[in-house]
Amino acid sequence: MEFILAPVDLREGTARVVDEAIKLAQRVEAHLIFLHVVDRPKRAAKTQRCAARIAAAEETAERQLLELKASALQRGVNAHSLRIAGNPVAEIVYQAKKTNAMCIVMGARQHGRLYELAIGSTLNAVLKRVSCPVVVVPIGRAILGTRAETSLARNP
Amino acid sequence: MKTILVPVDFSRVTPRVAAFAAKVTRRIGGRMVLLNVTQPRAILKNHGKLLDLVGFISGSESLNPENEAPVAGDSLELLGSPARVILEEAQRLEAEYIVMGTCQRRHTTGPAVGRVAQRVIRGAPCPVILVPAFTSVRPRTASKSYREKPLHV
Repeated sequence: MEFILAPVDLREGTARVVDEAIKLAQRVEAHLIFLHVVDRPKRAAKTQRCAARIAAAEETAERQLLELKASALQRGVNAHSLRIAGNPVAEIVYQAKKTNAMCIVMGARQHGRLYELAIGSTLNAVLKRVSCPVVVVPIGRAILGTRAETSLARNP
Repeated sequence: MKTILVPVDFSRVTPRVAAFAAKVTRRIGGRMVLLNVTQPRAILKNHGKLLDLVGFISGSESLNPENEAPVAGDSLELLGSPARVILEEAQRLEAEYIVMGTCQRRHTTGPAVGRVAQRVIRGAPCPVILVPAFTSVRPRTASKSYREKPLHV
């Protein structure tokens, strides 16, 4: 039994990554694992307001993950969902190794050079640490729409 | 028929890239196209290397120790700017996936993939499969929170 790991951040563009992951799992007849890592800042969690926000975000993530799992099952793919709190890069690398994943499916956001220098990208860090192939699904601006559309989607 | 485009530059990672591409092609029942974008002065040298790699398509014994079935495929040698040619060929062949290797920049702070792969990812019409150059990684533990308590399985 082979596994495909699909780490998702549940932001815009996730639908395309999920779609490609399901398509690949269908073709190679592998099990699909949706992984969502909640990066929980320790200091922020101490204040009540932040803790409440984090709890609400985790609840939403849980629901969205189950929806993704259901959509994969509907398309005839054996899917599992996993929600973990911790460092996203470390968790993705750890889960890939633990499940002996055939490959990892990740989205590539088109950040600018300054963003990558200051904040970095999860994909880049994962690529340096895993030994299995990584399927990179480009999430370009054309898919996300204009900035106005994106902000409208976030705050309708 | 689904096409898997495999740009190769004959670096250390190339055999791994071709082997993984052959595996995916075999599973999805498509055809694998090896593409080498070369320079005029390197044509002859690279042509010999490309012929060696064609063994992944024809199923030569040295490249296929597990005796897997040969895959349908082709090989191309083109001149030009690598990223631009790879993207043009991906469009022309309506490639389902592009399979490429990463460079060996594991311990540096820069990007994990080379300039050609970066440009291909930015302009690719399909998903790009990146095969790492190294086979073994230093075992890393997950963050403490996970070891204590998995939230949902």
